[in-house]
Amino acid sequence: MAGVQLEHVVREYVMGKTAIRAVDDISFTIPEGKYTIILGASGAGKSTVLNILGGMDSPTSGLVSVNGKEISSFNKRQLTGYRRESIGFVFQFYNLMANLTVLENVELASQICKNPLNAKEVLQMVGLGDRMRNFPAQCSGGEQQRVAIARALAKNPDVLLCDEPTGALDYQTGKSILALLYDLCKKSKKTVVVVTHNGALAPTADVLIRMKNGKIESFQENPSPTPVSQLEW
Amino acid sequence: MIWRNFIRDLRHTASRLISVMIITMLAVAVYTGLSGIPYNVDLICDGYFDAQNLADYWITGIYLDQADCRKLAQLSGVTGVQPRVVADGEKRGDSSITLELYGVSANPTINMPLLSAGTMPSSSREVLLSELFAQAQGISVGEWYELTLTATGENLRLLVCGLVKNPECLYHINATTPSPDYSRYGFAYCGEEVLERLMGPNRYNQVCITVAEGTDAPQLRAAIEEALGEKVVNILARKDNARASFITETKNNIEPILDVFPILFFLCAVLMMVSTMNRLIESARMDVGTFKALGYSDGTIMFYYLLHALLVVAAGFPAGAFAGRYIAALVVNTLAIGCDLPAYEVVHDVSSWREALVITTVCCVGSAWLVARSLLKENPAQCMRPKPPKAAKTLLLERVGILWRRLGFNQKYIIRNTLRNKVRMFTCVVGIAFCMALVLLAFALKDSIDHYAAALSERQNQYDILVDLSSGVTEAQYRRVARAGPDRRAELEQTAACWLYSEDALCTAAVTVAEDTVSLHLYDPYGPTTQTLPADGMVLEKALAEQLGVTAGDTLSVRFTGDPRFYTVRVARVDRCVSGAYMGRSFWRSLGQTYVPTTVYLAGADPAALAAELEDYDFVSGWQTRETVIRAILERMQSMTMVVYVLILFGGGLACIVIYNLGIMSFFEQIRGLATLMVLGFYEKEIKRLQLSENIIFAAAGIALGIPLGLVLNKAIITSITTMPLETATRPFSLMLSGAITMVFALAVNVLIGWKMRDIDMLGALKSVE
Repeated sequence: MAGVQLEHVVREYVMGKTAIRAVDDISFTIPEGKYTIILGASGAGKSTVLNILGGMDSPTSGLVSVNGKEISSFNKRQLTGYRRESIGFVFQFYNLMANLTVLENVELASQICKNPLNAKEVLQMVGLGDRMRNFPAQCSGGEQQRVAIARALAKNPDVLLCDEPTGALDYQTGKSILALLYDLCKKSKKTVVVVTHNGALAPTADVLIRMKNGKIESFQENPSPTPVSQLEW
Repeated sequence: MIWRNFIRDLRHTASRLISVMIITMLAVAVYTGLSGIPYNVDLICDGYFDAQNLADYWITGIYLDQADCRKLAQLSGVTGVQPRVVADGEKRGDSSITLELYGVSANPTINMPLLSAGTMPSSSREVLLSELFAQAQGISVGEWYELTLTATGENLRLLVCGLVKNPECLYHINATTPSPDYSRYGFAYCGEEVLERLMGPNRYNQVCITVAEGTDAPQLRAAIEEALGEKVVNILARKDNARASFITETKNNIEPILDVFPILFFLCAVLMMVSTMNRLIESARMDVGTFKALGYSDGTIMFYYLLHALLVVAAGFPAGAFAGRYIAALVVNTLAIGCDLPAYEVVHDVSSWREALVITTVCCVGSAWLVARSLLKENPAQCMRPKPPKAAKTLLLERVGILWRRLGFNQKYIIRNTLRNKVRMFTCVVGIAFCMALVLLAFALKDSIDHYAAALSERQNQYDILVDLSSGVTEAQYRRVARAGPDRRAELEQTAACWLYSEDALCTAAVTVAEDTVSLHLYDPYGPTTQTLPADGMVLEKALAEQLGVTAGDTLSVRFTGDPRFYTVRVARVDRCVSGAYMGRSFWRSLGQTYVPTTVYLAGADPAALAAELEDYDFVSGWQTRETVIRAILERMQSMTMVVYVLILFGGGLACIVIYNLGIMSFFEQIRGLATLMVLGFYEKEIKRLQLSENIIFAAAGIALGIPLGLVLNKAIITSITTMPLETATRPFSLMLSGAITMVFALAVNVLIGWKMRDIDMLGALKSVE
């Protein structure tokens, strides 16, 4: 089945003699091509879910399926292959390679994929056509996050996962980044999952998942999401 | 709480701290160990020599008496005089077993034998035998020993009352026993009256003297000459007495290497200490900011970081200092092979501990202090912010578009990464270059030693048998031995002693008078197979020429022992390889000197027949084969080789740990980038290729830089520092081997870091604030 599906997913961390449940028996399905927001306070388990979806972490139990691939049973190498071909990740702190130019940072990701997008075209798409030869240190925070998004997009992934993508940005820049992600989702028909603690963003999502203490508090599908540009917080 | 944080902090920095501790330990071990070698040799020898009151000069003469002794005692600087009779003897009925007999007064005060068993002689029928000689011959205290005096043929039957060691016979050799062989050659002490038939009552052929420290040697020699006149045959100083000074002489030969290597080790270690402490503290800048923001005083924060450095010193120094003694022991024990020393113990060289402790503390704590101080100068807000990234620059290579475009993505990534952090690149390349140079230097030194040993054994000595002629041999006699034939070649050689006077210096030296053209025993082991001595002067040892302040073409005034006249002799050539002065027979004769050879070198189709023939000549005092001579040469080289092996081992060890340290530091610095690559879906081997190829590039650059550095150091050591006439003879194999060792270490470290990569916590690494 296309889209993202979680069934009775548990993620436990054992700290000494204590086991902490970061994710506690959650199940949900995100249809393909939906702009999804996972909302929750710090420690709610939202980043853990994102990491599991991104193949950076594995569930202790339960089933995780992304576009028909049951990634919860993948071994380490398969998970790497999955991250390589199917996932684009955007971090709060950009995580760009300081020694590579903007273009090279995007090529870094695209050169390892089977069906990458043209790095220059992707950069044009995110509005960085004139900054390709600059180094990350020569770009502003918003520009750096755009590079990170371009890098994730250039892989032509099935799912784009964004962990607090506006967390390190100011209000206006954050807004423009969210608008970019939303537009990309709509234009490319790719599933985008954004993790945030900012409740004001909730109306923009096609699918809104609220998490609390590792559990799903609510799961809502929004047939008419509010465009980011109309949002104020 | 800050100290609890300190303890936890140690866990994170453990691998880096441990590597710098090991580097410190190695540097201290090599420094204290190599310094401990001359220290212990001096300690052992000085203790032994002082206890037995070893003579400073041996004056050999004819019919010396008590009046001569009184004259000597009155000379300025002379502190003790001991006359004696020295004679050669052989086991009765077996001329192959010889020994040197010392006839001394009942209670000798100079060159006192060290009693190992039994008692001192109480009558003229008793003898003290060399302990090792007695062991080799199976003789015990209380047995009778029969011997024949070589000069007179007189037979003696003496009771062995004790077994002794003797500092002047420390390395008991003579012309026909080039390395100690107590199954063939020993020594014995008896009362002077036992040997009085040789010289007559109260007549001696040798007087041993001791002198006050600082006595001027040339002045003393001149005074002795003046006091004893023509009675003097030879004056032998302790430093020229090969038997007594063997171990100190060998130590002197290796001392320059012992001086240079620890400095190189420390330079490398200091570089590593400084860079590691810098990078460790720099990486903790945000912690410094946090401590400051919380209100901790600068002093406490400074102490917090100095404690890291102090820990390195506190753990690395004692381990190194402790290990140093074992390095010293290894080499000292090798130096002592063949030496008849009393039981000794190799001890710690505490003075070198002090130096090493000061150097390590200053470097380690000093670098930590400098970095911490510069961080403390910043305000808390500045410290808590990550260090601003360096302004990125387009590389020169990128401007060469044709070339840059041809490079693959990985190459571009590696080049950028490598050139971006120049300090890391510099530290890595220089660190590896130092290690490479150390390993190469050790191998190159070994090559030079092997080359010298081969030159001595295979090129210099082309004879089959070396014949030692008795003193006063006649021309008819030596011509019988030295006759040439179709299957027999012979060369004669004479050795004498002389005084060399330049305008402002005076030296004594051995003069060797060889044939005008030599091919059986070459004076220059590296030279052609036939060497011609200059017809118009002498060849002078380089060290001697430097001491006299002369160069080729200058003239010297020369006086030969037993001849009061002065001769003006031209220095035709200065050569590193000759010992003392060398001249051809014709030139010697042109000075009006009598030619009385002391040695004959024989080569023939049937060496056994040559040796058998020698049995018929009573003027032959002994002979030895080329193999015996070569074996002795190689044995003497053993200690040098052992030092080199120690250097190879420790140089390699240092290289290994330096490369590990550099690799692990780079790894930690780039962990965030590596985690990003993992998240992007790079496979482990692709990440390793990217990350580790940088280490390989650094290793290759370090090796490339280390080769000229090692070769230059080797040349500097062998041409200007060591007293041995070594030549640069580095084999390509040694170059390859040193490079391969360094590269293998780099690869091994890569494997280790590769394992560490598996443990990278992608999430943790990416969560940390940039």
